[in-house]
Amino acid sequence: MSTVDSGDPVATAEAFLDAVAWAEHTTVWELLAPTARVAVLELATRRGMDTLLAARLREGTAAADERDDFLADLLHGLRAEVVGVDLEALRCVLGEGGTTVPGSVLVHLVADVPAELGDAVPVGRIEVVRSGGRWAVVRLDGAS
Amino acid sequence: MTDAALRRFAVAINAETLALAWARQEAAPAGSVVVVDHEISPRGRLGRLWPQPPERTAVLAIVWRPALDANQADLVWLGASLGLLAAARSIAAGREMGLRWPDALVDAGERRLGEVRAEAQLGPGRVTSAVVTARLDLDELGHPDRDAVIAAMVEGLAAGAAELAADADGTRASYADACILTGRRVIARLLPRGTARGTVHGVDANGRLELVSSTGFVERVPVDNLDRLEMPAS
Repeated sequence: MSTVDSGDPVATAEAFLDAVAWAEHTTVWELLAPTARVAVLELATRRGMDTLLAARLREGTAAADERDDFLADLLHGLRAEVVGVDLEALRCVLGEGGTTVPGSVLVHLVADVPAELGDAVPVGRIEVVRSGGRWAVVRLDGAS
Repeated sequence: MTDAALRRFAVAINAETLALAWARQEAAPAGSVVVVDHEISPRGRLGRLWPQPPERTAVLAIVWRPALDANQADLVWLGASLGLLAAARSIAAGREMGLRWPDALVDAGERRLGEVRAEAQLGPGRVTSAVVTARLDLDELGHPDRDAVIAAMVEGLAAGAAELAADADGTRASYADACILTGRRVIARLLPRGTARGTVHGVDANGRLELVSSTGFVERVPVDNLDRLEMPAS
């Protein structure tokens, strides 16, 4: 059951970032679009995850410790995208272009800097798409 | 305490250096104490300088020989902190104090009254010895008699070592009770990089700080991986 307001792309991106930062592992999974979940599990399988475990995770029938171990790895991977970034100082702003899924939008993650140094610095982006009557996350990219 | 188990120096680089040398080169027995009246380089966790001048500082280093596995070395920080807390409570009875993981003794306003540092020497799979350095701010404690404070610290740290030896789980439980962070949301800035966030649940069997997320995900922070702890703005 969703406990996150995902009725707005920026709010969804903010909730996702917050969930990654605060290790809300099941919320991270919940906010991922179905296509993103499939992509994550396919990648995990290519990297050696047991296919039956991947199936259990996909169907939501995995044991709690199996799910937590998997989501721990996912969290660490997502955090690696924004490592070194002060997440408390980020803003999410709606952007344009660069999407990978039809109908999706990009939310840019920007960090404000002192005015004399110029505009806010982009540090990453989150692609979100309308799916099942809500906004859901397709991917998180760091700036690097 | 016998004279043989206590060495006092008017001036030294710091108490830890002398106690480490004593432990390593002369097999100092457990409970051996080094007291220094004036430390030239008073270093705490991560080599950070103790900010108070020597005239308002009581410092000692004590050799422990705890029966701990190598991965439990962080428990020494807990036992040392509890020992320092006991000492401070005996000096300033009635004053509200607590511990801030992993090294600080603080008052009700979270001002730093003292600190510990634990330097564990590891052998094959186990801790062979540890040198615990403890410092108290005499002015903050309102107690100018350094010798009396040192005596209380020796007693408190000996008790901390004894509790750790007798019941490591009890030490963990006592620490969780005394830790002002328990139940609070914190941001742990990690070394060499990275961040962990969550609500402090306590410390685990190896002395690592346990952070629990709202979805029940647990992250554990070893002492050596912590740069600093911050409180979120909201």
